[in-house]
Amino acid sequence: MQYENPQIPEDINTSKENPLKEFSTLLIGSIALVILVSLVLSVGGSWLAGLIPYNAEKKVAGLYDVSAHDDNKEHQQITEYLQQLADKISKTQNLPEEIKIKIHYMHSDTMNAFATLGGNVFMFKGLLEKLPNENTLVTLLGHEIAHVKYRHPIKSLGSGIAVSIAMTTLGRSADSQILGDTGLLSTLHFSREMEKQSDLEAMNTLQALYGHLNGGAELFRIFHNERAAMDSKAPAEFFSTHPLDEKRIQSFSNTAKEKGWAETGTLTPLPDFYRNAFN
Amino acid sequence: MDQILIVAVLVTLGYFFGRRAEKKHFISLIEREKVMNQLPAMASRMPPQDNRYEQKLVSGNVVIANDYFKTFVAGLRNLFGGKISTYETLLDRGRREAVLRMKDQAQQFGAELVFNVKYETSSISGQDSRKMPIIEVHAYGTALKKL
Amino acid sequence: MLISNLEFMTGRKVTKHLGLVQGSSVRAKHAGRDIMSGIKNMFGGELTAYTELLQESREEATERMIEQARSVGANAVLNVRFSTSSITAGAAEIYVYGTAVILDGDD
Repeated sequence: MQYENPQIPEDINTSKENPLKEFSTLLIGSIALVILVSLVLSVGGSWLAGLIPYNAEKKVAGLYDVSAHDDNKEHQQITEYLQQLADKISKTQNLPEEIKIKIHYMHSDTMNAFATLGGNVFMFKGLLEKLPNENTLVTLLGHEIAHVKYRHPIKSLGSGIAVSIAMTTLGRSADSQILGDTGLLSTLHFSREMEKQSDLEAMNTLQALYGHLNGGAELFRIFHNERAAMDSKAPAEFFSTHPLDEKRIQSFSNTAKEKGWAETGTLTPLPDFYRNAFN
Repeated sequence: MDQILIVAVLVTLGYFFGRRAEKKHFISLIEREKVMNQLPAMASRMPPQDNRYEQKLVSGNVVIANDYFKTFVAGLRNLFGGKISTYETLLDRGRREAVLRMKDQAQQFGAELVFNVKYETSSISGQDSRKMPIIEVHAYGTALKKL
Repeated sequence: MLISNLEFMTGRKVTKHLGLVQGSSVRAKHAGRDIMSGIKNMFGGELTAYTELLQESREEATERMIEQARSVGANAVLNVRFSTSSITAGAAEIYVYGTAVILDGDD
């Protein structure tokens, strides 16, 4: 009996191909897959979330005690005033009966306003004090109320949840850091489509209440200036859903021309107590 | 963004360093195998019956880690399924290295044959696929020395 | 004590089988080794510290198996097998087992 170990040729159990080739194919493939999956899921999730009855949404929102009690007289007065405006706008926008807007005034310098689950709309002092007249304020309120009307908060929550669930599942099998980050981007705020829809509704409200669109575009000019001032200090946000201020300003005159609405008109001043509250 | 950058740097570094290390290892494996082939190892269980032999259990092990590039490619591959070619070389290197170390031991014993060679491959990093894979290959067999 | 993973010793007869004997050893890698290896495994290559750790672990397990065999009066362990299982991410169990036997003749 003879025993020997001849040398076995290489490359039988291993691939000869350069791994970079496989790497690039896989990278492109997975990016495409991630984009496709997040798109499908965010659309699907938002559609599904839209089917949730408003009452159920309200109950969920009720779990958070959103209204911080504020005893300040001036603050209460502003809240009341904003609430009255909101009720007026709700009527103009033909909000379904079960949807009730609740305004929360936040005495904070944050320049912000947002609509969230359960018809809760938060208005911050930082933004309110920059508004020059009632028309601009109505544009802002109309925009936020339109988000509620079209159920944007729950839809974006739905799509965000769907995408993040999928990404965590995928992330388990792939590099979670990269996929996780991609997932996060789609959970941010409302989509551009939603913003556009709400802008249009705000214009409708302006036209219905005042008969012209004057003062509406001013809101986005304020945003634009503020952002420009901030950009010089902080690095620009990578993916913002509000980068198109100029386009939105333009859309006001475009819509006006399209529908034959007036772009100029008398601006309604803000009440005195509102002005005084911020000084 | 920062995280993506870090991953990109690690993947690039992993590719270059990993590839260099792998090439060097393969060259050394081939060289040592040529020498060690004088001491044949067999998977069969029946030693030759023509002689009396002294027997000894010999073994060799190696723990070897994947580089970041390969792990990353494998992670992407997990999305689609299919052959993970970047792991092939890792396992191949581990097995061959372990056998060489086993043969080293056998040679020190003065053996002329190694019989009933068994391999054991285990993942040290556990079942968590997010961790870098570290594998251990253990090869053992019975060295036979003519009496 | 003769250890072999063959089922017999060439030229010698098994006079008595004494059943299964086994040895096991669980070892964890320590943090320092872990950190160094963490850096190293970015770039691939052998993690010598772990290789040694597992080798020591295997030696210990084999020692224990031999002790068992000795305690039952065997002079050889045949058909030895190793098995490794990772219990958690940080620890591995090495298990070795075989048949304890008494061979005729002297060692």
